[in-house]
Amino acid sequence: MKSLWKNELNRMLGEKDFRITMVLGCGVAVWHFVQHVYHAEMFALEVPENVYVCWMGASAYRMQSYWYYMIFPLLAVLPYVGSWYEDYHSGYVKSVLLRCDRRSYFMVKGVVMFLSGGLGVTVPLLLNFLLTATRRPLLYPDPFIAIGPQSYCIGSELYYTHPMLYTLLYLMFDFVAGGLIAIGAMLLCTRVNYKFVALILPYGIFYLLNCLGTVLGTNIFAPNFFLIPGIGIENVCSLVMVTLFGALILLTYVRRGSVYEG
Amino acid sequence: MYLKLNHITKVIKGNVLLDGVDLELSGGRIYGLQGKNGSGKTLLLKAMCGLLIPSEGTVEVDGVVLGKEMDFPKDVGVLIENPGFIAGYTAFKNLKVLADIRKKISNEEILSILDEVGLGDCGKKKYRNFSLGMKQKLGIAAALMENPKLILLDEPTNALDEKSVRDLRSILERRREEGALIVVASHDKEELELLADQIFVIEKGKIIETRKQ
Repeated sequence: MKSLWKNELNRMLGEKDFRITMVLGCGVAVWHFVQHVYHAEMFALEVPENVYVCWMGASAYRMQSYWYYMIFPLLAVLPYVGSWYEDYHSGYVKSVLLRCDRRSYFMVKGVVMFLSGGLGVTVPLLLNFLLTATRRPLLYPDPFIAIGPQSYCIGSELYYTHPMLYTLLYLMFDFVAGGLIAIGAMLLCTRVNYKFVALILPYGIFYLLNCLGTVLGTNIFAPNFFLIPGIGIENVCSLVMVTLFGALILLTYVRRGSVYEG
Repeated sequence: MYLKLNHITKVIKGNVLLDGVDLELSGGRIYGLQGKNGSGKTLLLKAMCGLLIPSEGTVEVDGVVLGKEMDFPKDVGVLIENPGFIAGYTAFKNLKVLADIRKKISNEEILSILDEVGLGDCGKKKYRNFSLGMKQKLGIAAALMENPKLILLDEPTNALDEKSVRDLRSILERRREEGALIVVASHDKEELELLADQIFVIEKGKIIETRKQ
């Protein structure tokens, strides 16, 4: 069991796709930092900027932030889902499975997949936050400026009273969302005959939800907005949607894993 | 080592793929499963190792029922369909990753099985650059490397040249002498007759004939 964990973690971290995703995500994060923090005048505004309104997770107004959250599902699935697709379709899964048992294998694989998705989406955000913190003070956010969650958003009080805690909790929320998307794509791999379909489908769903949000004039169903810490969760419906999606994915995964036939 | 199949039936979407197969196999023998394409050979092998969950019936390995007390036999080596490995790894690294799960064999033993199947000189060549025959040999090496007591091979001579087939035959005969229970599935009657002590002919998921050599 220990060696199964070691093998899977080593494989995930050694994957070329994992490194490409990190370069892509961190590239956007550094680009955002350079353009909007490093080269921006800190006291150009009347109110001094702080890290919570300047970093990539502060809003969707800046191009890099908007695009980062648009490619969020790609960053979740690219690191490790491709290798699962190959393992599954080449029959490699069977070779590993027969050396342990269904429960251990699918638990280890699922957790590592979840980690890969979570890391893929949160490492660049964390990097951007830390980089921004080197140039901007960790002041409390000002409720009278336009950036930050509205007062009716879930957890907005926490944002203005304990912004660091709010940010960390939100990064965890994003981590979970990324992990669930990766496991969802992993399940898709067992149903499709082309790798790119499994990798692109979560992005397609994300984009459709974004369009739905635009048509309805609300961010409730648009994850590329409600996953942004600085925008926040406007309505409990978004949380219910994520919870139901997560439960459905995990239950399907457990069910499929327990009856997997090579 | 003994393997007992009690009335194994597999029905998928109304199609009966295995139809009440009863078999009793014991160690120190090579069994052949002969049948046309689609007759159910591979499914039966999968049922023997626990990869297939039967709709009816049970598989017992040394008295332990698969799917209840354990998912898969503890001491099994399997080559079913196309062997799959990690494309970016060498033959040694692929086997090492698999061997590390059970931690039963050393690096020297991995190198020795690679030598035995004729892959001793493939060095740093990555799996993605292997020929079909080399891939098949690596699949055989993975199945045999941990000296399993139960060996299940599906069309093991696919893509192998004559010398490699002869080598494989002698490896399997050696394993038989060491007490392993070996089941080889093939559509090739002559090949099975050269190798097996007993041959089961399977058709439409049913054992229709048993021949002793």
